[in-house]
Amino acid sequence: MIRRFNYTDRIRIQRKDVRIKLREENGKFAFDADLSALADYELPPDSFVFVEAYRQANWMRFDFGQVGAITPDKKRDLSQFESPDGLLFRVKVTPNGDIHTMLAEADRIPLARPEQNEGERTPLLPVKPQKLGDEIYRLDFSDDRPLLLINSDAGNYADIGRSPAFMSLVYPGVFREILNRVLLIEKHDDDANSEEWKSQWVKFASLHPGLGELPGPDDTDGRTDWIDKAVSAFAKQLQARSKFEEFWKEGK
Amino acid sequence: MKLKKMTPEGIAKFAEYLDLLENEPTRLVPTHLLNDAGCSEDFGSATEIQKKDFGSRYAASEYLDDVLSKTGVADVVSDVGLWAWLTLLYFDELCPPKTSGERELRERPAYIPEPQNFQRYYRHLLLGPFLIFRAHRDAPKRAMALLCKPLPIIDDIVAQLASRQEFVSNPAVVELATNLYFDPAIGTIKKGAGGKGGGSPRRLADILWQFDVTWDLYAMSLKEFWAVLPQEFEKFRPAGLKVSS
Repeated sequence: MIRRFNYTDRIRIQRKDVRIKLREENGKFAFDADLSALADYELPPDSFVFVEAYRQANWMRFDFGQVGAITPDKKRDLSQFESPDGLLFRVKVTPNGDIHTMLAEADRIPLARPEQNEGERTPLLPVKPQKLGDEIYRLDFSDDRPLLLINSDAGNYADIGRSPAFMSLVYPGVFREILNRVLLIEKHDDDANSEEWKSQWVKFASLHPGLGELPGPDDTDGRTDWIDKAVSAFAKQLQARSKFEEFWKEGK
Repeated sequence: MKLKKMTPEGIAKFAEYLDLLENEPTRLVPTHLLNDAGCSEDFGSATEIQKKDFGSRYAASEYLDDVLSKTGVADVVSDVGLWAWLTLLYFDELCPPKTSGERELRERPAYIPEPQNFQRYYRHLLLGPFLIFRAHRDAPKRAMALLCKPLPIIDDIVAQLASRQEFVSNPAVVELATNLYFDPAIGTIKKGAGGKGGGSPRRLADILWQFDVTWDLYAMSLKEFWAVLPQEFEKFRPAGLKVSS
């Protein structure tokens, strides 16, 4: 996937500023969206606001009026979706008129279920079981953020993920693979956007001691060294060697 | 025959067959599971379904849309048992034997869908086209670029566009892809549309991905897309195409 450039300085709306709740009425699903925080962004009051719901090949769009006067579509049932599972939302702000440029956007906003706490967060590296043939694990980048898949036929995936052998042998390699992807392949150069997974990983890596400043995107050698240091510090923090020894003694 | 769905036991046995088929590619298809009382059960209100050869993703989706609409079941999409049963019913077309009798398997999600993996739904050889067909049910022929191929084939157009929800759900984008790559005269994809160079589906996906930062793609019409598409796509523009909207 190519890198994307924000030539038009589109404003990124923080996901925390958008809260979308599921509502159930007579067995039908609908949603409510709290967009009051849009008033804090410097957007023209007469610009249009839309909320889109999507999953797989389905998509629905709802008119939410204007930034200065949020007026949600009266009909907000999610009739095109058979269930709310996996639904994501996108909030778009476009100029008043027929020019379809984007002024601001927030994407991949999950539904906050009624029982969900305000502070629930997505883990940095979600882990899921999946059939992988003879592979024990695989790092999957096909979704928005990396996902660690553990072979569901190999045993209980949660137990495998917590085992000393897996932790010591796999996690440092996974960490390296993600940093290679973010810093060398995609040449990502930002750790300030707390909502984007690439920035989150750069931030996480840079919190390890002794790394120094991240070299620029075109300094491949410098970045490779930086990644080596980050993985080394991560393995130390993980106590990977002692975990491996624990496993290895058990193996004897 | 009556439409059914597989029970968890049926799904496990079908998965076991797929495992065995990997090492024994001439192994007989366990069609008996389709009517085995422990492996399959009725689905929705009694609905007839025929075993037939479709020839294309479009024909299969059109037929399944018609059949599944009669079941009275609201959520047919996330029922793994249903799609596993349908896969077994049409297995000879989805995973056809070669003249040697050997079958060449694709990855597992091609046959047993992963309902929670919303990014890779399209890899299921029946559910993937069915979802695209349903998303464009008002005018499904606009999605011919994604639906014209035989069922076992997931070509680069599908892989590039169906994997990105912003594109596959957008009527104008899907119609644009059909205008660019589908040749209605031969009923399939134009020659040269499968490459990776200028004007290819991969380039289209990358360019739309960049446009998506700047433009509200869902508000754009087909005419507007044609107006901003780079020159490299001209070779695929249908002769005499007039875009009115």
